[in-house]
Amino acid sequence: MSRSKVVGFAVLIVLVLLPQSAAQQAPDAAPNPTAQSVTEHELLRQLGRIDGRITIPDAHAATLEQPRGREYQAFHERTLPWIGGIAIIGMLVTLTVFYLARGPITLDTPLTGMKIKRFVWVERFTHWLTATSFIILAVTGLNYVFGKRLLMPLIGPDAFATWSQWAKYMHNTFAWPFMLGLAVTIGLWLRDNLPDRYDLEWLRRFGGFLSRRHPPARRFNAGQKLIFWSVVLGGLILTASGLVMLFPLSIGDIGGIQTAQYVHAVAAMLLVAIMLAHIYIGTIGMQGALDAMVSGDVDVAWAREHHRVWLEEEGARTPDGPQLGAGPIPAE
Amino acid sequence: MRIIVTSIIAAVLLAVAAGAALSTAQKPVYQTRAMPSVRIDDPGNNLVGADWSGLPKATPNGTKV
Repeated sequence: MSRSKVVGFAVLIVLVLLPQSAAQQAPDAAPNPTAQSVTEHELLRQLGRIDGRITIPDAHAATLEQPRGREYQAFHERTLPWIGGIAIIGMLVTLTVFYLARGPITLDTPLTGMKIKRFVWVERFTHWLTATSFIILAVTGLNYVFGKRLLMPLIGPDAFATWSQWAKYMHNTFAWPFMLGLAVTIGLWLRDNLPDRYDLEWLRRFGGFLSRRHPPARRFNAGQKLIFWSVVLGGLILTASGLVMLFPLSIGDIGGIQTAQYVHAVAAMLLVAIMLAHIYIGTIGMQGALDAMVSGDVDVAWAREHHRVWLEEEGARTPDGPQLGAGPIPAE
Repeated sequence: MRIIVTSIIAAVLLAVAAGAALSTAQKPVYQTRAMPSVRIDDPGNNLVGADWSGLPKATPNGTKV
């Protein structure tokens, strides 16, 4: 078969089959005027959302379809509870196992009766101001995620609605003493929480929690520094994202609020879990730790075991011994 | 222990002050978004009314609606 015959045969086949193909697409043979128009799905895929045209001044009302809202809902209703549950319950289980296996960290040497000032009044006040605010924020914040699952079946929808409304007010208002406490905390303890040459050794030996031989440390050991920086970074993230939600639409659009909620919720869950470890080691986990933040004084034996370098520095700073004198220290 | 109680009281006072400041800085959506041509009703005074229970309401003459 010559080449011209082959081409002619192919053209004939195309001419015969094309009308059939068109007829299959449009059985009634009528042209579809919107066949080539952009579909809603394509618009969403290209733009991320569909905006309309409105005549009222509120431009935010022009958003007609925004799939990110569904993604946010899926995150809030499914992913977030899992993140929070794993972080918080995981930490509680870890601490329980640690307590049962190790028990409280006690002193290897007897108490001396000599006290040394560890935290002055303003430090303790700031700590408890921030702690009080954080606990209220944590309880009321967790209510957003777990309340309807855990609390509402127990107290009923009416009581849960009333509680949740008050929880929302408390969350919005106690955020401010928390932010104030966070700012003062940074100013008070930033210098003492900068890394030093004792930190790696402390981390390598896990603070002596398992070997019962405490590595040397200055005023704050590496574990306390990790807690401090977690509070600082987590607190700043919570502050920034919380302000976006406290003043909605002041920065960005509805997507900005949703992004702030992603960040706020995940950071809060992780910080709550970390604070559980801090509360454990500051109360039942370590003998004498709570005294430091309640009375402000610690026994010299405690200071020698946990913060040996700091004790030596304090002793060197006061050669006449006012910090190391026996008996009660003077009122501040 | 006194320092803890003092801090808790301070936190409550600061929160109350913040709440008062927020209430002056923020307005309900039915106020901020309402325009001369657009009326957004108070949620407590909308079609449903202040009572959201769905239960029949008694009228002054004793009938229920």
